Amino acid sequence: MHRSDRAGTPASGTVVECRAVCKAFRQRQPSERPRDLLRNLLHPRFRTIEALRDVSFTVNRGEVVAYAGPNGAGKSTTIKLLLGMLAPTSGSVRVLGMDPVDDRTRYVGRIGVVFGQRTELWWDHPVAASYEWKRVVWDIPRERFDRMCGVARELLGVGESWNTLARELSLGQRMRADLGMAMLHEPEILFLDEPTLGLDVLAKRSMTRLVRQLSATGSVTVMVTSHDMNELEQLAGRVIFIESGNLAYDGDFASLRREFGDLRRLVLETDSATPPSLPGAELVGSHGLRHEYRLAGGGADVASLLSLAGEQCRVLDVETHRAPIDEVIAGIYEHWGRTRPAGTP
Amino acid sequence: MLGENPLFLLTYLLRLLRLAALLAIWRAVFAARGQVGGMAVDQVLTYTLLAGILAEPLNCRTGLDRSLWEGAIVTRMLQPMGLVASFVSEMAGRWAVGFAFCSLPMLLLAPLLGVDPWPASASAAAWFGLSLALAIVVGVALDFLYGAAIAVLKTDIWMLDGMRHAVALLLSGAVAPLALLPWGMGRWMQWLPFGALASAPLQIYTGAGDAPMLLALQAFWALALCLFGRWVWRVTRERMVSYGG
Amino acid sequence: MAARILRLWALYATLDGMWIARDFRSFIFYYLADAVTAVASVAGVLLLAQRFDGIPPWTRDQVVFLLGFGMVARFVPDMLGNYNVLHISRRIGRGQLDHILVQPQPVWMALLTEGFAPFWGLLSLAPGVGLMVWAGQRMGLEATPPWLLAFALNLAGASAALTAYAALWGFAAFFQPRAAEEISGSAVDLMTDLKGFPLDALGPGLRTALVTVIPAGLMAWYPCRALLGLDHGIAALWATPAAAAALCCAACLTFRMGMKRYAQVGSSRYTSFGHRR
Repeated sequence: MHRSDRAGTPASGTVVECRAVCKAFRQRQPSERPRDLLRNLLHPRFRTIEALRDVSFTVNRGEVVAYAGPNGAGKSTTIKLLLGMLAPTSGSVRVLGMDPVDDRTRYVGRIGVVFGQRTELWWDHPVAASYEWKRVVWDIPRERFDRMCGVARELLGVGESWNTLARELSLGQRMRADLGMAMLHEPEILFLDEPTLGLDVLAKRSMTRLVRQLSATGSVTVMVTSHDMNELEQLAGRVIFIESGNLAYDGDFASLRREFGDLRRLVLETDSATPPSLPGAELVGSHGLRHEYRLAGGGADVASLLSLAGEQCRVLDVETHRAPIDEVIAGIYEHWGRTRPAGTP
Repeated sequence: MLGENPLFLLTYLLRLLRLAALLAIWRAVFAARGQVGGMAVDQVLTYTLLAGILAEPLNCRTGLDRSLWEGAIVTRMLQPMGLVASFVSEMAGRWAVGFAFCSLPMLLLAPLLGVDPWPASASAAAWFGLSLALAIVVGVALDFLYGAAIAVLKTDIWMLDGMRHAVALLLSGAVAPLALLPWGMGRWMQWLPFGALASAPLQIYTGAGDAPMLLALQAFWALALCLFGRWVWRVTRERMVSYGG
Repeated sequence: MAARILRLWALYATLDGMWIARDFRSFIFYYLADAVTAVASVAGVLLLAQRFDGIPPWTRDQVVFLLGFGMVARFVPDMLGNYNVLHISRRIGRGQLDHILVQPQPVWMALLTEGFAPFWGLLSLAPGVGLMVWAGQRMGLEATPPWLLAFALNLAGASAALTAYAALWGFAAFFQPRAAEEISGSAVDLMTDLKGFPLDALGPGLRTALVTVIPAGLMAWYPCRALLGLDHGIAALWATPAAAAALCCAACLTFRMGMKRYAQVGSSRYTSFGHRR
């Protein structure tokens, strides 16, 4: 792919556009009972799964968007639709002004994809061979290839595994090599599907740092899915939540916290093993002289609470912090779980 | 698996087609000939029929190779049963389905194909049962040795699998009775462990071989390969786990 | 387009060469396994032909020629069909087609080039050619230019028939992913198992099935009948290429239908087993 291929794409504006997208699948429901063998053969049962229902959103150039939701919510289906691997049952998907299915070959030359669970590397070959393979198949000009190899070596540390067989790489090395390979043709949009799955803390941090560096240039739009909400909050300015195929939230993380309860924690260390009674704060637990409370976001007046606590015992130390985003999300998932209509996946 | 889709039955139809083709070819080969290598045409046809019916037990594939290649051997080792028992029980389950949907219909269709499916005698039938059991033991032992070879050589299974398939078909007598090979090759080939897989039980069933001698040979290979397999497994266990886990 | 295909073939040939020559032990073992497989796969029929002085109505030399032809006809699909391209049902059924869909090239081009491994199966090509030359000399076969043309046409037809047939079963995985993976393997194995046998002795029904539904007869038996003069007439010489062309058309049609369906249902399962390894 050459620079000229990108002519006609605006430098800013919408690059991803999903309008009223629905996607339904038929799923076989075989009985496990041996006596139903013939029935399974002759009259198999199916059910229809509505993986996506009337989902609409747009993504602008240079944005980093987290795409999240519980298992089976429709994340992978959306990513596959955006990659041109699936066509919507109804509605329309346009990315970079193209239909990902109809214009597939032209389109995929301008995007990059990293699947945490699937490697694009050649298993029995050194990383260098996979990169060379990519250069030929993607028809990447030599100058760009050399420059991006340099970027991959420098930013991702791919140099250390350059001559190592893919099968002998650690998961972290493999993911970095995969990401470097996805960047070789300088894609305009990078789709990262669970890119940090199974990575240790350092490898995750390194991956997060790199994606932030990429997005800082403003030329790459990133869509990332993950179950690690802390990581998504660090990476993305915007999060789209999908639940049971419906778009449940689209906005920034701060608004998400406000909307679904900005939980904060107050930890008091006192001279008493009995926790002070604080109206408006819910006691989470006590460990010796340390007492932890959950505060409702925004409404709780910490100074009043401290004053109230001081009347009941001597306060030795105070800590306040925001609840981890994972806790907020868990609350949202639990809420969805309770309110989900029967029969939905 | 079968319950998912009736198309799986086509696999068995293909096997039936292959059997019918081989029977027709043997008839042509034996046309206007009496006995060849001590076997009459009827014996060869019964031999071929049984080789088709018992294709799986006569060439045991436990799935160990695939498990190693997929890196799933460690999950097997966490099951509350021996590794051999785990693979053999799964293999037996597969055979049961194949027997119901393929072997049994083949047996019932035998008269239509012009083949006498019965054993040469009652004693041949009895000895055959024992011989088949020994063939399975030898087959499983060879399969585990094959798995060890994959782990030791650290090579991909496709190449070895192709070689194994071709060699086993030729040397086991599953396609052509060893007695029909030229220059007396079959006489020495039956002493190899592969001969214990298909040739021995099928010869006993059709009354074309010396049952006590063949059984003794099978018992020897079963014992020798099991002992060798245990030793190889002990020696290469670590390598297998590192390769397949 | 042709230049791109050549460039891709060169790339995959390099990858194949690098893989085979990764170390001396692997290199030796690789070719040893290849040689043993090649010899063992034809030895059974060869030995029977020796013992029975042919397989009626074919003489021993004719059977040898047929075996050689079958080996060479199998070489091209094998050379182009590595990494489960020949067994495409495995890729489709395991969700690995997605890896092709993210490449900026038509799927057919990826399939035509990605499995190219010219160093694989070389040792089945040499004995195959050797058997044909040896048998041809013993039969006094005259390799005139028209005969060589017919030979090349039938060889290409036989190779194309196997490829298209394997693809047809393989593309069934678009519609029944798991079932097709099982059946496709069995169907291709049946072709391989029967390709070395003269099928004249079979009844008309079975014989017809083996040149149409399961065209094992097109791999060697039918083209060799024509080439060795067992079947007279120009039609016999054209039958295999024509049948191969029909199979190719059917495969292309199934592929197009399959791709349309894949865009609708995708693959609900993914396993990396066998992917690029």
